[in-house]
Amino acid sequence: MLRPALIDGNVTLKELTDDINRPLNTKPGVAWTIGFLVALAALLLGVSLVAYQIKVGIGTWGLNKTIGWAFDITNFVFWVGIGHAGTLISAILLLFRQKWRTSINRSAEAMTIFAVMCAAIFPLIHMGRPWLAFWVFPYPNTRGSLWVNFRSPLLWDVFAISTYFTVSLVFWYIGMIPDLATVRDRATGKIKKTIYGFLSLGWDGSHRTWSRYEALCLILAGLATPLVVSVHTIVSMDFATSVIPGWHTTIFPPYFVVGAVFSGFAMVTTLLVITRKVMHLEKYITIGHLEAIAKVILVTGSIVGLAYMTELFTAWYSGNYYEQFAFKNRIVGPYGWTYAIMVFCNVITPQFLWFKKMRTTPALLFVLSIIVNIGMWFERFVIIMTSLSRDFLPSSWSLYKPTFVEVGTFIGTFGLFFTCFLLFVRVLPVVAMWEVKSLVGHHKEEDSHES
Amino acid sequence: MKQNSEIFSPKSKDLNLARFFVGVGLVALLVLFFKDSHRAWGNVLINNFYFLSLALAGLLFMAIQYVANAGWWTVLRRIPESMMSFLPIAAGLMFTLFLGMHELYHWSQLYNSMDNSVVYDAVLQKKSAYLNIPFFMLRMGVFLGVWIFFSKLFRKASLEEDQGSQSHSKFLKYSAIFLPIFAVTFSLASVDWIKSLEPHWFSTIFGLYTFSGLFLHGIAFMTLAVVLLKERGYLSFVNENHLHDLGKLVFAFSTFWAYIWFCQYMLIWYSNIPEETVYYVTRTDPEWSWLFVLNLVMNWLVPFLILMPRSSKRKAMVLKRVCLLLLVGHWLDLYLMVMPSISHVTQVRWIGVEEILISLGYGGLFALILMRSLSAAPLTPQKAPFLS
Repeated sequence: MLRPALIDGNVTLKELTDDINRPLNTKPGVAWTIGFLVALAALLLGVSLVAYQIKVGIGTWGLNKTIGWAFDITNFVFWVGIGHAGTLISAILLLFRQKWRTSINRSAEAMTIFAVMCAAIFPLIHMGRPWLAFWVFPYPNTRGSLWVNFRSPLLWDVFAISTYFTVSLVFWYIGMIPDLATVRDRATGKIKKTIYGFLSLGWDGSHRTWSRYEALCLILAGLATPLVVSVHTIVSMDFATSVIPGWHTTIFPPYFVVGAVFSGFAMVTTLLVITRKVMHLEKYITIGHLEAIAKVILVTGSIVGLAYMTELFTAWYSGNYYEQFAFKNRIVGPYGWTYAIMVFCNVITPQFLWFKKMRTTPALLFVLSIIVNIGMWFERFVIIMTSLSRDFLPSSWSLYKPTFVEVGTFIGTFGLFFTCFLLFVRVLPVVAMWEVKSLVGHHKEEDSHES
Repeated sequence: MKQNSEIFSPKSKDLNLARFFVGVGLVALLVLFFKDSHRAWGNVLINNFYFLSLALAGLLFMAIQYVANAGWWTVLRRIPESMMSFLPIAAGLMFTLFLGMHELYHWSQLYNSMDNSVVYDAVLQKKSAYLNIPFFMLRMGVFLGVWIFFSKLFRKASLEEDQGSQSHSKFLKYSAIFLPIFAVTFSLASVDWIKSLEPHWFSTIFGLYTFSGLFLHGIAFMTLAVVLLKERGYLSFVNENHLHDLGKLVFAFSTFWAYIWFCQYMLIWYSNIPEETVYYVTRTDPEWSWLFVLNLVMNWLVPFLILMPRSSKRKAMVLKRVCLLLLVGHWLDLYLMVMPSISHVTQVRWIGVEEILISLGYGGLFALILMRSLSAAPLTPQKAPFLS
């Protein structure tokens, strides 16, 4: 069969609605409760450490004169990257008419929102005085000559990420409206009915509403596509516009975008393998979906590998002493072990996905996705640390070690991420019912034609 | 669905025009060799690379569609298939560069000549392990050989499918193996053939930049071919929705090309490191700058604005004009990659009548091969699983 059915079994529309709505109307299970408590504990750890470092100052980090950027920006890029998969699935795959996206776009977009929130925390704390964060916005003010620097890629980040976050949030919410109306119509309690009724904006499901609605979704997808590319392009420019060897290289923008998609899809795999099991969604998030995701990981992982090779080759080809040193230092310098982890996790591990067995076994995919997540964190660490710790002037060379505060804050963002995600799966429909229904109906129709 | 086994037979008018162009182009090339051999070799390289990319784009397009399990393009499959039939001839033409090495690649002088007229160049000495004539030719042979090998595999599987054999899984396998090989070989090929024209300069995105141009102009050519064939009464299965999809691809990859162009230019401009800016300093001096701007206008701005509305992506006439513009635009892009690099030896600063005639000659040759290949098998794939 050229294109196997996307949804397993003979699901009726009613069964589908019941299955997706079930978590919203039942008490949480043991697995969810334990997971939620662990995430909450991590979040509390993060909150208290953030409060501590705001009170005491950035001196609580392991930074020094040479290395002024380390854990914070690594985590920032890591989290922004994770977010990219959500937009890719919901917007770019919509433009490419990939119907398999329908079962996973809702949760992937939620992941995007939460990941961008986690990312935003790091530059905010690094400001030292986060209550003055509004200074990053250019508007007529009474601060005299104090004005943002439009030539700095860090300011471009402010615009790119805030626009991206806004559009992603709107896209996610708009995409949920028909399903929120379904939840409203099925809700029994008065409070629930009121809340979901308010959120569904008086959705009536009329032909005219649907027609407007689908046009809007397409426009938002068209807007989100260049935005998602722009975000990591600009994040890469934080480094690439400098003159630091290892940072300044023209391939950075597309290479960062692909790396972001790679890491994001790994996180989608991590989340979905658990979600489909715990919430009994195997019928809707099938092995076929996991396999498609795995193929994206294989392609993007291989492109990332090609980018690593291009960088190495060009460093040699350039004949430039500093370029060559930067890469030699990456591989055999004091942080060489992080480079080895990076190559193992990001280039070698995904190659196992050439095997169908690997792509279709959820447990193996889960392990692989964790490895890729680790690898992509290390990739940012390698890029940032190795170039900063040894630059043009050997007398200023230095090393960096994260402090407990930095590690704890990073754990805290995981707490925030999972707390939000776990709440999401309890209060909102995890699968886009209205979109999946079009597939279910479609298959029924085809069956009746054949018989 | 009904089988459609129409066979393409080229009009003698089209054939004669193509033959005429080949003749005129050949004469123009010979004349130019006597006038200015550097400029002549520059033209050979531009056109060799241009039509080689076009042939390669056909192969690449097929491979991508197969791994993505796409169905919409099946009715058009013969077009990329015929494009790649030019690969052996493109390869033969590439090998002629061996005769023009010294005119084009000044690193080759360093390696080859021991006489005192060659200036010692420390950087190029370091690179000579990679940039030397025997290794250069060996790499060229390997790259071209591998690409031709895969194009033959695809064509064979395609013709076998017409006879009723199950080729789909074969296609999938070939495509999956071909794509990573292509990524590596084409990146290196673009370094060898184009980037090494300015051997001191380097840019990591360069391979991706030439790739984006290759893919864009491959799709533009395919779209143009579809429209031309429809104008001649073929491909009745191809409807507005196919055109719309092709139009979307042209729109998307034109923007992708512009994105990669911008990344390279912007990062080099911003960091302002002399070793890197040298590439753009030449290209933005007053003599070249109008072409430099025109390149962006032709390959991105105009296609972007015209193809933005849905309706224009569904009109054959609009697509035809935009694609013609893009095909000329890609030639200009290559011209700007090649000519300014060798401009220190040749005084050329303009696109003369010779350039136009030589390119038309190459175009005529490409068209002849394409038409022969198109007429060799039914214009619609027979028994393709997505069409049954």
